[in-house]
Amino acid sequence: MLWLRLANLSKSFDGTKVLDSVSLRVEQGTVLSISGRNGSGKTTLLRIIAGLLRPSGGSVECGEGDEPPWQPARLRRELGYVSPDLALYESLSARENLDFFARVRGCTRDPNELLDYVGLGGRGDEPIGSFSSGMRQRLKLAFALQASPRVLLLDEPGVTLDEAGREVVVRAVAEQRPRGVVLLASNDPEEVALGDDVLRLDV
Amino acid sequence: MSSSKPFQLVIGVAMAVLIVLAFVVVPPSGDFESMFGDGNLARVMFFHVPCALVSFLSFVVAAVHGGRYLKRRDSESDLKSAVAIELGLFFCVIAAVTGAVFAKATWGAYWHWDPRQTSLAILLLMYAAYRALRGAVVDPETRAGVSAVYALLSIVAGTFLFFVVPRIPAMHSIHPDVIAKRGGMDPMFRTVFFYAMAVFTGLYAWIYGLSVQVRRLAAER
Amino acid sequence: MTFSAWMCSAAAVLRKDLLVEFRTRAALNALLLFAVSSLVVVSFTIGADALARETKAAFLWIVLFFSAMVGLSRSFVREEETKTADALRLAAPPEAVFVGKLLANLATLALVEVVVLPLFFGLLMAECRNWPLFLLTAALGTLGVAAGATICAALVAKASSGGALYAVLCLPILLPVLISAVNATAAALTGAPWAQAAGDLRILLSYSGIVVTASLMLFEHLWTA
Repeated sequence: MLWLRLANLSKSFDGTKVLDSVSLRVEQGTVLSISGRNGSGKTTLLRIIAGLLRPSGGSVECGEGDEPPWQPARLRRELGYVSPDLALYESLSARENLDFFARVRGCTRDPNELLDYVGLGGRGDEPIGSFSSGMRQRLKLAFALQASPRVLLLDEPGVTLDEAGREVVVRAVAEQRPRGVVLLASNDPEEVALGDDVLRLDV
Repeated sequence: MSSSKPFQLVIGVAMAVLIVLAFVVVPPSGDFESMFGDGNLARVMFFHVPCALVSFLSFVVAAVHGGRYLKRRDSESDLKSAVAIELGLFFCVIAAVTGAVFAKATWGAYWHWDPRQTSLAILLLMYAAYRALRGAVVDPETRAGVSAVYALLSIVAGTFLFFVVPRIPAMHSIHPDVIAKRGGMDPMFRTVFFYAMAVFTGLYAWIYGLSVQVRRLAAER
Repeated sequence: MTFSAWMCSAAAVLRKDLLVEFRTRAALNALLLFAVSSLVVVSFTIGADALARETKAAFLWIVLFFSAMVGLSRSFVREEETKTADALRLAAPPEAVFVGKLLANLATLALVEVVVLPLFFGLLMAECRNWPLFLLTAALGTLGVAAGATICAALVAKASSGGALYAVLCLPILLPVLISAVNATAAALTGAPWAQAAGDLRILLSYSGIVVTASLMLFEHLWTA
């Protein structure tokens, strides 16, 4: 059974404290919503868990059952991350992007199947430089789901998406639930409602 | 330890003694007399060589602390690394200037591009590159990481250069130490020389310790 | 990750970098333009006869060095600028990223040399007395330049300034390569015996090896948070 634990996680940027001793533990089958006003540290928290940012203090650990916690490299492989900060290769097509990341990750999931899943089925061969922001967001979701992650981190996943796009997010979260955990950072009440529990970072 | 009062006193006295020894007590070098016409020129060796040695040592210190930073990610190691670079650069400039003055007095030109001078110039270049890099990165954590990696890389390059530079065909060494080793050094000269190395190393340790403390206090504010 | 999976990762990064570069051609164009115009200018102004063989050898490596400075920093700088670096961090093991980009830079330099070397021999009327030595030096020297240039590109990508800093950083790191390569190339052009160049070749080989090894060890600290 998968578990994710944060212990006294803190982050300061140049003296300003953004995260102050955040601790939590989530187990397999949980969807945790993270909310808070702008600047409360939602993105920072997810970036630290994703391994893109080093915390000033505390730790992130993830593991299965009684086994010792995973090494950072293992966690990186089991992770899927969607964020407004993320960007994919503009001069490559959607299919080429997914193909590249599949090879680099060493996974075999068919890019076409992923493209269909996120609703980009017919647009796989266009360079993503011509994509709208909503389409880019869908591709980012495909990127996150590609390696069949156990830990899914979603930062404002629905922000540029239309009705259909949001449904894809809802479906992805529902399908992810039995596989592992989902952490969803958002200020959108509908998205926050997807979670079993809410962590407020304001206080 | 290096900033304790007794140590400072010892270094101060030792330096005064060195100056007296270097300029008054040690007789003009016979070797230098025959080669360059003025035995007094040898006196520069008591100051120029230790400075060069210390500046090289300082770079190694910077690299070591850089390595420590990469392991521990603590700002203290980065601070020590940065101080070592500033100090090392200072001593490197002194070594280069004293060397150039000596060169002018003996061979008539300030700069010769013989292996030792070239090596010193390259060390100066490494210091300058390191400082440029530090200046160009805004975020303190990134800056510390990048500086540490570069310091370690430079040490590798520097070590190789030490062996590579003498191979440049156009360079034949007219550097005195190469010549002096042929005849061996006069015993008193040798003693004072090693003494000078020790004094300068102690001086370096003192200034280094002080600078680290000053930086630490400034950072805490 | 197993070694073969790791190599596949690196190959994927190489392929992607070459693909992206081929589509935009920015770096390659700048590199070629610089290299060719330098050769043309020297040939035109100084004239091939006025240069000794040693000078021609030095000039070749100066051109290659500065060409590398013009073009090779893009490999990492572009990833940070277009914000694709994070996606790469999430998907790829750090060593695979470094090796992939090293190979991409190597390929770029090799491509430039395919154009530059014939021009060098043509415009500067250089004669080569020892072809195997020349080619071996060119190969090892290119490897050394690519190795130093790649790790320095990773360093510069994190800094806020650009081109000038890159050259300043690379110079101390690449100096051993340049000195040895020039010596060995001069030996090849003048027809000196292999024994004379042997020391330089040894240095080129060992230095390249050490820079690549050190870079692999250090890169992870640089690349990840």
